[in-house]
Amino acid sequence: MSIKRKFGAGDVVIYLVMLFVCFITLYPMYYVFILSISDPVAAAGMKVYFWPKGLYFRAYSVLATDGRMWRAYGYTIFYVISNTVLVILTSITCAYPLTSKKLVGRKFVVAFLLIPMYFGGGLIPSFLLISKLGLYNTVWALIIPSCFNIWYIILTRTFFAGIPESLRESARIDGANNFSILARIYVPLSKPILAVVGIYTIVNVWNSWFPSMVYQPDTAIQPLQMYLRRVLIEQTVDLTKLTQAEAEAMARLKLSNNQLKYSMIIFTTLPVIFTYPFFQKYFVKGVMLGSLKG
Amino acid sequence: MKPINNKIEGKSGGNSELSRRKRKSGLVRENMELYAIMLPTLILIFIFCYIPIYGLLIAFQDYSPGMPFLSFSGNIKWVGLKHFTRFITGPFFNRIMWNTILLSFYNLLFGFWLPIIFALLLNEVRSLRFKKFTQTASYLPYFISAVVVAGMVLSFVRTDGLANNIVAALGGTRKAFNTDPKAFPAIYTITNVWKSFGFNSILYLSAITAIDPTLYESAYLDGATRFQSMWHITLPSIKPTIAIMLIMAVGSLLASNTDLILLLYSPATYPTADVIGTYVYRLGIQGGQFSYTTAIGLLASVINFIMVFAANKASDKIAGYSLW
Amino acid sequence: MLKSLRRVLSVALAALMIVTLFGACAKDNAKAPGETGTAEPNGNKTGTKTIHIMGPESSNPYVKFAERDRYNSWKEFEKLFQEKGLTPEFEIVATDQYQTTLQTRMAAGVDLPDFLNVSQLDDSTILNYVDMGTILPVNKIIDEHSDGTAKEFFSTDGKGARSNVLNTAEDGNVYWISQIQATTYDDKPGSTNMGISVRKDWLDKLKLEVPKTTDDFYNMLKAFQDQDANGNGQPDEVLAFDPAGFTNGIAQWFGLVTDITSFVIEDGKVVSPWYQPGIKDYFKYLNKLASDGLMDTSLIGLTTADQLDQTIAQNKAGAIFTYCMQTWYEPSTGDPDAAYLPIGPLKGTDAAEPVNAIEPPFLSYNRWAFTKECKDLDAAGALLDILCSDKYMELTQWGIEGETYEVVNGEKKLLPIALNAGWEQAGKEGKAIGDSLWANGSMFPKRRFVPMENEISVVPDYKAEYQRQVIDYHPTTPLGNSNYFPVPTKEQVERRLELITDLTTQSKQLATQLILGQASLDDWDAHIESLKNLGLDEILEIDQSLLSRYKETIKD
Repeated sequence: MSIKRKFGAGDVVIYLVMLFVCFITLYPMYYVFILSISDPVAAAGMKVYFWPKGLYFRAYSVLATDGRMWRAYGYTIFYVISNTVLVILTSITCAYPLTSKKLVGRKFVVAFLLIPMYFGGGLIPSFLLISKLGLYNTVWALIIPSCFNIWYIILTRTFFAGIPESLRESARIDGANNFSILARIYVPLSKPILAVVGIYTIVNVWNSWFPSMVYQPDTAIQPLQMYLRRVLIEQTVDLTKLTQAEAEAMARLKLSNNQLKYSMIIFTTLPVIFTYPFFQKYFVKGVMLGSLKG
Repeated sequence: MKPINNKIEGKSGGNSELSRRKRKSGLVRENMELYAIMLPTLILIFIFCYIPIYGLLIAFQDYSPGMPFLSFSGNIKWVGLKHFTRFITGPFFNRIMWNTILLSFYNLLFGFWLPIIFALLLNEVRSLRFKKFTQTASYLPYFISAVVVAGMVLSFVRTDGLANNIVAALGGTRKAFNTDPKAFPAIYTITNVWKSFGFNSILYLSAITAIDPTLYESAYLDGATRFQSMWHITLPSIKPTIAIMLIMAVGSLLASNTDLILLLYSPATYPTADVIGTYVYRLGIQGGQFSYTTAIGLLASVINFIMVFAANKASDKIAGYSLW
Repeated sequence: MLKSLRRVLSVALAALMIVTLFGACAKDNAKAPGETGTAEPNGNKTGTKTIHIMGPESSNPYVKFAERDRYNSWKEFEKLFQEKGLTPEFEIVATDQYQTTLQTRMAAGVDLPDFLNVSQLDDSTILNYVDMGTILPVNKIIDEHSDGTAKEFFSTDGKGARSNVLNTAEDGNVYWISQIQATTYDDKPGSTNMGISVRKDWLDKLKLEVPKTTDDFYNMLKAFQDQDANGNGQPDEVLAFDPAGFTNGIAQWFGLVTDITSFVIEDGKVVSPWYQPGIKDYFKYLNKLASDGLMDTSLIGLTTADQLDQTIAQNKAGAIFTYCMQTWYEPSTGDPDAAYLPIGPLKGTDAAEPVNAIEPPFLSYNRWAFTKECKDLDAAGALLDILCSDKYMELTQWGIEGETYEVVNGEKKLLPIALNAGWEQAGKEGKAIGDSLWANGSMFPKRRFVPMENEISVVPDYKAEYQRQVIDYHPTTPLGNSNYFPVPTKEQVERRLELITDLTTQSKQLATQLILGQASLDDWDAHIESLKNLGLDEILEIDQSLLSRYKETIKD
């Protein structure tokens, strides 16, 4: 911005608010971190506040030294990239035609999109479908059914609607057809919304485990969250549901593995945080400027 | 890019038969292109969203796994609206619906506006570094799993927790807040909003970046303060985004963050905390009631759908923004 | 136009190619043998019969069924199969996924294994599968295809007799087999119990007597707080337990049974705590503990045990509810002197005799069944014979002599490596008993015959003494009804399902409110009315008919 304002009272208020936000969001995450490296008994008693008590790294070494974790990591990256690319593609291609007033049956298409957002058939019919399509127990079960997202289509369409008609008209006059209008005009201008769709998809896929739970019995191809859940369940058991002999055995594990849920959060969050800055630039500059003047 | 003749002629005006036919063929070609672009996605949606929808039929049957969903051999038991009636006349129906709606309403009241205000304020931060830092920090809570968040919240509000330590220090008596039905809506709403406001603000932030900076320049030259610019330029420019988010939020009236509630509630707080999702969860533990739980879900979906419809119509009439 | 179209297409194509490239590599990996894959119908090719078995992987983090070939006990087990000319093919599913996989595969009806663990199917669903013929009757397989071993095991004198009776459905057929555990003490049936344990070290430190009455108990808790037993300067010592349900130790001091509907074993009559004579005194007592700050009320009715663990870990729990011989809470307090001494049952009211909540001495639980996919019934019969054989029982419970157990004075004794604490070592060395390797609630059912003397001998003296003394206590109530209820009819299951969720909700809510003082005992009649309206009496009837059926067929 070329505006130079004096640093006023308003700025002070804003900075104070932002500092408050930082505190209430960073401290809990920091708290999780120090719990994850503290001594198990201290962590179970939630006795730490500012510094970890008794350094204890087993909660991390259990994960980092497990080959299954790295394999799940690799597959997750594959799922994330493929899903993000495809979701962006499907969002663009489905949103663009909806912005054209000439589209016949526009209301039906919109209804067609809206209904599945509220109505779904449930687990077993989807399971039968995936089986019949031959996707059961393959990596594709986590890609093809999730390569589109109706809510993002709607978001993208709303953004497209904000792009001036005049751009489309002038392109028309130059003889462009819909394919090139979409590719050469709308896509470059919609980087902000595509960045949002991108980051949302990355986070969703990164955190998802339910489709894998249902469609992928083969542990080799499962994503990270499935692996983490499994480790956590393997290590934490409800003692009162076991017979006495079983309970004793489990309790030994329970004490030192209670912390796993903390280290898992750190594990899961760090990669996403490192990816986010690449998207941040799409939230900062004024993208529309050039096109209007042109 | 080579100009194509039909296109240019198709755009010309005139009422003659020739130009009308050319406009029609232009329309046809236009639609063919548009549908060609959309078709792959539409097919995918059809396959993965519409084909399994027959599963909803079990809401009208006495279904047990392994039975066919649709068959003419008489192996299915159709029961009409029995499950819906059972739910509506159930002893806890009123409370469940009321709690669900009330908690959603609180979420709307506080959780809807916070991300917007946060985005607006964040946009005004001068230092780019601090802006990026705060933005990243703001959505960290989204990544803390519900189990850990609930654990931290309960540790905070329990009789010997930090909240009560403060109360005791100020001279009050300690109280187990998490078994107090009156305190539950506040505990839940605050936790829920805290967890999601940063992540939800991303959309608004991106909408703000699309605003033309020259608007701000002219406002500044006219002597507008920072907050006046915010009110007259930023906020109106993101109105379309706010509108559709609001419409969708109204359409989630009967939804709730069930996972979080399950971890925060207890029988003492059932009167204000028991919602549709937690009730269905407890049904599920007993097992075997697939038709009943599907019927409940279907009822909630229908109501949500009607709400979206109504909200969209209202938005269209009032502000001119609509989902379609 | 072509140029821009080409552009769009090329981008899409590139993305697709990259995705496919990864996919191809991934798919090759996905075909890795061993973990999954259904058995191909091998039939009668080489003269051996194949049987396709599906089950969850062991929940033990070190000893994994997928690595069974490393274990000698498995090699011995395999010999049993070879002797019968049977080749088992396994589909191992991860523990946390098993329930979903089970439900979806059974519902889809495709790719079913021959024999699988169906424990996580609820009664209603499984009875429907029986009706549809998806699950085969085990008794018929035994009658027509067993070589006698299985037949004898499930006969009236066999070791599996009781389990078989419990698994008999209304039509007289048996549709699944179960795990069996029988505990004895002094050669008679006897087992452990759950109850209240208190901090022995605090009693010693404050020179207090072990509580013998409920008033003593109250005074003890008060003394813990007033005299700061944990030494941190705060009056935060509490009774840490969850009384939202009736399985909590103190309810039993007032003669109450352990669930909304349960029974006193010596009595044979199904009752509800809400109707029992001691109930009002029980709520009065707990209400007093709560309002006097001696019970941590923030722990009532929570979904997870995390907050309870936190209280114990902060060394604040002066009294807890647990198995009387437990030894796992002491380490988690962080106090090296911590010792939890089991007490009770204490007499809470003159209106009723206190009961002891015991683990039933005969446990028959979890289910394994054959599906309609199993066409070779001879193979099924052979499998049953293997699972009922003495050799299988020995391998499962004891393993291999010299490796996992030794014989001392004519008695078998497990070596440390075979105990639950030795799992990690067992996994490293490849020495494990069948219990840990293939029967840990997973692939195959286990049979355990446990003399309690073994377990008693490894716990600290003060706990051992208590266990020896309380094992003869009567009256008793079971922890869980399922070991006394035979297979219900479909109607009973469905009726129960219709009522139980709402009834449990109301019962837990009411109990919690009465304890916290949010509801008053003066409105007692209205409270009982609300429970009756939700069908309490009907469920009592259903459960009573099940218990009566049990008593008729099994003479204890």
